[in-house]
Amino acid sequence: MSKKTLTALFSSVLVLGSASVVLAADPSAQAAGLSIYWAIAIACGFGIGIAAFGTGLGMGHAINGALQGTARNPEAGGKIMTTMIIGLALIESLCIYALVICFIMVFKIPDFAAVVEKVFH
Amino acid sequence: MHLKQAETRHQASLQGIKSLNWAVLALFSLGSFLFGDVRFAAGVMTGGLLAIANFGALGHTIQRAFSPEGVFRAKKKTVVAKYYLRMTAVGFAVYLLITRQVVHPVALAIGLSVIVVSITLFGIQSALKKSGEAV
Repeated sequence: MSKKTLTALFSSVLVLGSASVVLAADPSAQAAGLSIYWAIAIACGFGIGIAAFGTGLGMGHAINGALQGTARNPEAGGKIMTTMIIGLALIESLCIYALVICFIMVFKIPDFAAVVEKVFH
Repeated sequence: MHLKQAETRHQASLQGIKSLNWAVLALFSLGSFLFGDVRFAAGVMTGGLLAIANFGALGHTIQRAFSPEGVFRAKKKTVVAKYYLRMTAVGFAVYLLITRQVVHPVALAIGLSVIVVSITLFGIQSALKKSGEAV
């Protein structure tokens, strides 16, 4: 099994596992049966995962293009680097938005803050 | 000589974006103070400062890593470590701000958009200047 497949598998297990931890720690959600909270937990995990995947892909393309351009035309190196920094900032901000939205959503889950406190203390 | 001039011009454009960031943040903060409460304005300001600091750190890391000719001169591990450190710091700051409910989450998202807005404005400004020169 390749390293990429293993990483993807591990990430998926981690995301789905965190959702079950949230559900297990929330008695009201358990009592209500299938509540909306499990969907929030899974959506947050997958949401940030997809955002990070897209950001990584975008940044990889940007850096690849910038380095190829600089290698072919070293005189334009400074110009390409400046444009690349601006592009990277734009791409990165998308992932930060996803992170903010995920944090907002995940803390709507009852007792999630208590779970976090329990884990870290 | 020509290379030096081009380099200076592009450094100036990056500096222009950095100045525009502060102007946009000031405008956003003023607007949020006028139309929202203190918590909302604090969210916009904190998000803006975080975004500007992140952008500054990103620019600094890349500029230190490459020479003006585009040759990679830094240690690979250092650049990667700095990248992860920066992302962790931003993530942790956002986590703290949202969990402690220090600021309004929507205001934080607006504040984080300062860089995007200023780069868009800079792009529009440059395009208008170019089209003006062409005419």
